[in-house]
Amino acid sequence: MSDQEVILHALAQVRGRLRLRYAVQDLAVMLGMVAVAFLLWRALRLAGDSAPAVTAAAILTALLLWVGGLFLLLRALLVRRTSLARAAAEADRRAALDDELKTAYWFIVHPMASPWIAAQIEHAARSAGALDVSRLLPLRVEPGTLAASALISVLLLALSFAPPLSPSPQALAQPANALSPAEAKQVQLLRDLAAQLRDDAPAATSVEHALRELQRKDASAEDKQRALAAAREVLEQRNLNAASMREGLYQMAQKLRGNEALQEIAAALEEGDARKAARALQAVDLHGRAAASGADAAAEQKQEKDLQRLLDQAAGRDGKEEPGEASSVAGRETIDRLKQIAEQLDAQQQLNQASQALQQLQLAVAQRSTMSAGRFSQQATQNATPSPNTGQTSMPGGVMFRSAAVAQENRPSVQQEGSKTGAAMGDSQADAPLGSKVAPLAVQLRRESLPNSESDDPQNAAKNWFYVESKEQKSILELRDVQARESFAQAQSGAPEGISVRHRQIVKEYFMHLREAKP
Amino acid sequence: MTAMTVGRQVEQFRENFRIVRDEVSRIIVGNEDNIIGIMTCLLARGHVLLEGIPGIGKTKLVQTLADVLHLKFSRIQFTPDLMPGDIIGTTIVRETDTGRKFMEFQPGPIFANLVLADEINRATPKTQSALLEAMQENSVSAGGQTHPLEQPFFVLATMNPLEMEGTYPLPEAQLDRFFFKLKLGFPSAEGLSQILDRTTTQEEPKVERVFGQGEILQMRDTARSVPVAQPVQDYAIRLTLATHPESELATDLTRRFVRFGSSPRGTQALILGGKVRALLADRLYVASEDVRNVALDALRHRLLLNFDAEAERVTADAIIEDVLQRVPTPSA
Repeated sequence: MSDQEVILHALAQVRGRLRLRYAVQDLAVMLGMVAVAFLLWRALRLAGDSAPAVTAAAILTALLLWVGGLFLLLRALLVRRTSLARAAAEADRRAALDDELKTAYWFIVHPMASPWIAAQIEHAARSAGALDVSRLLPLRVEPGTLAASALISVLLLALSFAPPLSPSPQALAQPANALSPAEAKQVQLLRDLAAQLRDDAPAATSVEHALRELQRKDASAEDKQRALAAAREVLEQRNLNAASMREGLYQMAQKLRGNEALQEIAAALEEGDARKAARALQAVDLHGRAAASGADAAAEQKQEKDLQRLLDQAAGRDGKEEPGEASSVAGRETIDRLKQIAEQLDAQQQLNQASQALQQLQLAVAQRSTMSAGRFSQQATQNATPSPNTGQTSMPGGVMFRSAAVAQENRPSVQQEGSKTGAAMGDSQADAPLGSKVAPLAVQLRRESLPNSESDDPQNAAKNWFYVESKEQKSILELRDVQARESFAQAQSGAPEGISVRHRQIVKEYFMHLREAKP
Repeated sequence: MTAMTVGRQVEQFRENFRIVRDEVSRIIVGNEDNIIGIMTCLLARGHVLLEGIPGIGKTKLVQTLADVLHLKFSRIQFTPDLMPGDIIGTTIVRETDTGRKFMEFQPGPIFANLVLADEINRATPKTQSALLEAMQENSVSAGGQTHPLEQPFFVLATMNPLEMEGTYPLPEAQLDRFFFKLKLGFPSAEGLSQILDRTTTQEEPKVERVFGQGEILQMRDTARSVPVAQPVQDYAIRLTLATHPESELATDLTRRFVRFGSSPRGTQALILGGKVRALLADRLYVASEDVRNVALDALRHRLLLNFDAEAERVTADAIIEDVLQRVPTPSA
């Protein structure tokens, strides 16, 4: 075998080995692309529908990566050349032969008669013969590839066993009987309540509708939420009605206070126990009839008046009938009315329980839905602002009744009197336009005439008057102006420095000049 | 000639080179690369420009080399009042015994094998240009006659990098005629200690004349015989083109800071210098590594930098190193 043949044979071996390495490399890249795609797919499955924007971005990124990777792979396959010259260059580089084989190959391809070239080829042949191609180009996986494979494998395993970040749509579409035991118990409680609420048609209808929505398989989480919220609203309205009844009873108790004979009724009403009040009223009525012929006609008359007023109020009459004739009829009506109130209050307790059960269900459905945190909090959190009319505050778990506390206060609270909103709604009297004292406009304004007018003519004199501010009105306005300035000055000086805004610039300039004037 | 003969030639070349280097190193401390650079220029039929601060041993190096090589040596101290005739010689009127007068050319100091042009940038450009023909054509024209210079003709010029009063910049044409521009650095502490040991005692080391003119010419022929494959030659061409700002191969640094790139003499220097380096590396062909090894010395004085380069203190060496880094080698 000549020197040239030795070199060409060695280069052919190197080229074959190179092609094999490239094939392994391409295979690894393709497997990597498949693995990355699978990784992305798992990540997308995990992300689910909880973040649509992120999901869309991830899908786009994955697509771009795929297209880019495919493009690079195709380009590498098309551009790659595994010629003998390339093999010679690779062998020179790996065996540190300083372009010996490449130069020899070039001289073989471009033969020239020169002893120097012959000597060079001879030397290169010796170098080529000594090459160990398997050691020069080993078929082993690079450490970087190994590390990447290990990383991808670990990620795949982690993503395979990781729980989903959000419940799947199938889980959300589960029927109500697939709820947890506690939730199922609440549903059962609601069913019982719906059965008891047959007298209250709207409430029963809304609860039934909510239950149907919960059990409907194709109902979305939004539909369930909406139905539960509607049912709860109806129940809350009933709660408000019951609270107003309690407050009415309390006010009646306040009116009866002071009358010793009716103390028991007043106490029962103050406790909100209508049934007990009805029994007490029944007893008083009977006792009153028995003692009607007794002495102390004046006290008896007062008691009779109070009772008559209570009876009128409870029965909703105007109290113009004769006391003696109507008291027996009114007493019966009042007792019946009190019993009815007692029943309504008992029912209200159940409604309150139902409301709480509905809230729990609403919470459970919301947690399993794909609703955002902000939106969930909007739905779950109730309005904690006290009502201007009743002073009651809706809170999770029920309604805080303030009627008793409000009634015990000496002066009316803001809630009772009404805020500006209440005033606008007509709930409370608005401020007078000028001053607190309400007086007709003609009284507020003073009629004056022009001083130098031609007052001889009475007809013209009638035209020369005009309205000016009265002294009282002027002084009130000036007082308000002074008060406003004072409050503004106080507000300005409320800063930590205790310096009003108007004077801050002066103080600042003073100190700045002071500092600059220092040598 | 057979491959074996070639092998022997290469061996002889390397042996001679080693002898010269060792002999010069007896006097000159350090500067191993510069000794190799000077020898490369000598064997590649080029001339060398040595740059270094005063007192660093430039003149001593050249004198030692002349002593070792047993060549005819002359030294020209360039001064501002030096005239071209002081270098190349002058024609004088002579009279025979019979009283007949005739013109006779008196050769100047340039008629030597080894010419040391000391502090070449102290002479005026007119005087500097007196060397142009001698360096390129190896001949001197005076009095209407051309006088060939004896081979080997080798000019070693030294110059100070410092800007001093009374110095003149070398014209680009003059600079281009130097094969290499070598920079002599300041010796290390150990080198200084050796210098003191060798120069402050009673006996100063002396060198022997190892070989002369014939061996040098033979070594020159051997160096020229080294073959260069086309890929390596293309690499040298790409390197040269990469120093031209208008070239497609130009690097970013080249485009920003170079006014004019290397001349074809630069490419010649790359290949010829590469040939000598290949022989020194016991190679019978020029590898891209040989071209890279001589690129700095061969190209640094051939790049004309622009004002931006001076303002940003970018040197030609930095640009060439960038070019070497960015232009792919034949193996890549």
